[in-house]
Amino acid sequence: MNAEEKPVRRRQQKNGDEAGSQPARRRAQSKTANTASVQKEYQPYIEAEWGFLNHWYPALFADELGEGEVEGIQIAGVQIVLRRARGRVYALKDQCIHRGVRLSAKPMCFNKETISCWYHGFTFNLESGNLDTIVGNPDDPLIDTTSLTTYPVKEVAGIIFVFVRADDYPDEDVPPLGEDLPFRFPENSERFPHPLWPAAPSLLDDDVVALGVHRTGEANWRIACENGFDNAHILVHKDNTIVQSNNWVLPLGIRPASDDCITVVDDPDGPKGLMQWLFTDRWEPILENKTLDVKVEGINSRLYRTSVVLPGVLLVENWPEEGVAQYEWYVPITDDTYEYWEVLVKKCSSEDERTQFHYRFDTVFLPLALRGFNDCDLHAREAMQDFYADGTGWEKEQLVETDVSAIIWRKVASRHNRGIAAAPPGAQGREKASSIRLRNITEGKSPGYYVEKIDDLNNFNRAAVRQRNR
Amino acid sequence: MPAVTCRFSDGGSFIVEGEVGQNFLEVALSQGVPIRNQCRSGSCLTCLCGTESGSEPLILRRGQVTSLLKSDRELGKALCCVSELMSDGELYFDYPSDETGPSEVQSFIDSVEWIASDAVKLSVELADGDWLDFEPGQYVEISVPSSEECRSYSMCSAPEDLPRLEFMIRILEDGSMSNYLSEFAKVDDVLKLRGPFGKFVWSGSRASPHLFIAGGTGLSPICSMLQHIRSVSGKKPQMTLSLSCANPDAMLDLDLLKLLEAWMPTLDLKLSVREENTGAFLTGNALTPIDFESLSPDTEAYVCGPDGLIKAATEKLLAAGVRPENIFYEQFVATGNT
Repeated sequence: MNAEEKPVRRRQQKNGDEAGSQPARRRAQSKTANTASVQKEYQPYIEAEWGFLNHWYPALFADELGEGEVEGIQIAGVQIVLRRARGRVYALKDQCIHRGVRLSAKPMCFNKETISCWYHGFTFNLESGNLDTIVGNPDDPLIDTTSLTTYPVKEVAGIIFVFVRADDYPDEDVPPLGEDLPFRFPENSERFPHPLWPAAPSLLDDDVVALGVHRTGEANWRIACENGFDNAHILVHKDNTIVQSNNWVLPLGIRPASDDCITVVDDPDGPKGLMQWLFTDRWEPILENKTLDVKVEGINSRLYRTSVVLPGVLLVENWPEEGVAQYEWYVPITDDTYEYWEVLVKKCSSEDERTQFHYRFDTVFLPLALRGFNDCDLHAREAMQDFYADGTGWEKEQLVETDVSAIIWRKVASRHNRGIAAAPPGAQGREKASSIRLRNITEGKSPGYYVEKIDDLNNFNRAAVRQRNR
Repeated sequence: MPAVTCRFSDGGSFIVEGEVGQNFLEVALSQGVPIRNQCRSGSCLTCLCGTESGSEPLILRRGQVTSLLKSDRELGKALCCVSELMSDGELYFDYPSDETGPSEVQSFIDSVEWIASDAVKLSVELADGDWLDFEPGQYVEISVPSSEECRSYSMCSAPEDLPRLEFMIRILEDGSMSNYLSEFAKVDDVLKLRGPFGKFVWSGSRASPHLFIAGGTGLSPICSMLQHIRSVSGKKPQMTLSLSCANPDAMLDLDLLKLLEAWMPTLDLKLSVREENTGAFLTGNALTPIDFESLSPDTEAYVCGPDGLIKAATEKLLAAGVRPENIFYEQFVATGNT
């Protein structure tokens, strides 16, 4: 059949793809801050439902992966298996090239140089990802001709970072971890003065101790990320125990008072993001709402400052107490789950200081800050998720002047991301109603971050399978 | 020494010669025969071929297990990757030997939108079942509906946007495609495309600085390259785009250019108009704003526009020390109603 005889048919339209079928209409005039032209500027960000690729993300705390251990996780739709061998952590795609089996479901390692697939014995080099051999088929011509994608790994301050990349992202273009970590002090103290608190510690400093937690949140990673540096949301924290127990009195809100309330940072070879000039005259605290007859007196809140850099890393300086800084990541797992990392960093130069920091973390910061205070952020993110879940929320939202932080962040992220993760075929959570997902849900296990390991190959009684509990 | 003729669906044929007992796929590939293959172990069936009944140019390697059905083997089917050369004969492959050759496809109009006083952007979507791969910078021939004529236009969209294709098209007075697009074209019209054609394509190198020089709708293939570069993995090259249009009203798709500038930190735009400048643009042609003196000798230059622009640009680029093999150009000819 040649082209002439063939009946010409339209491709099937995807949901929401209204190509050509809608009469062109002018947008309605509106008073919102996200006008049509502003929205267009951050279109790439709107497309980043599954996150950004080719960036450094935290994968596990170092003590979650002991010598010889294997764990499977998923970041931005990329399934990753981590193994520690001779102290060093290796990361490979957790999807056997043969039939896509997740290697981490039943770790099998014959030596310290390789990891094998437990199904057909395809054996991959930890360093290069090369298919070194097939256990029961050592002369197959496929051997040495193919490989699994590897992911560069960096371990600092007790956190394992992985450079989550597209399969074709070249090794030589992998940037240093520091390009995906928050601004450092005192290097930036002149550019961003902080007369009211000491220089915030960085994960890359000597003698820092990083203590924290990570857990799965049910929302898109962008909603979570924007919550982190949203200056208008302090209202939500008014009733938190840590606020009340310290007799902090927060303003009703903080509004931008000048055009330079935010500085965009895009130095070559440095982190890309924005710094907010909080507790300067560039932001104005709101103490009264006459319409509601609400008034706040005797403001006495903790002084802090937030900044955010790609791929979505928050730094809260001088929080929750002097000499400590809070770092947060909102690592996309799927388009509707993210791994929420809350890490407190402090410089401890003696064993005593370390012990004290650990004690304070366990008794105060963990229950009152990382849980209590930030738990209400998790509630807020979840409350927004349905509105944004089908994508229309990004158009329908009506932003106001205090959302300047989110709008600038979206533009910076649109410009400086190193790649947008496409909805990944074969990823966990791509199919929302897959049979395995549904069974897990009926068994009370919500979709999460880790790969569940097969404990007993002789027993497929799901109820007997240990439930991950971290 | 046996000789085997390989015949492809497009009529292409190749003769493979080798020693008896050699692996056929390896010999054929080494002699440039485009046999599709993947597993090289007799399992994936990609390298399947057919033979005439009675003839046996290939023989299965001894002891080799394959996933080819016995019934297919009896029909003369064979797998090149696990077969050895045996005797003279012919093999048949049911795909074309020239996979990159032009194909003829149909498409539906999604929109025709004015992007300047004398140019439109045509957006089409390939019809169900049709496909057309191309490299950024290439062009296709579009048949003018209800006429025998066709015109060549470069895509301004990137291959990543397939099955959607976009073109920046200058509307000429009384051109046949121009008349169609400006007067008659409507959403869901079917357009026939043939292609891709053209060697004006992005080199794929990301290390050297890129200079794009465009006159008018010569911007179209360059936009395709820019949008493609935006989506490739790894560090992006430093890029300058110098575009010149006749006057401010004729400035092409400023919305898109501004977005590309916002989304690509390594892209620098220089937009000029030759007449009636109101101050929003530079004045002059696409060469005026370029500092040829300071060009790095490893610059890659892509020039697309009228003949005069190409000649002048090439001269200046060579004088500035840009290597001739790094200068890529495509001439744009306006086809009126001939």
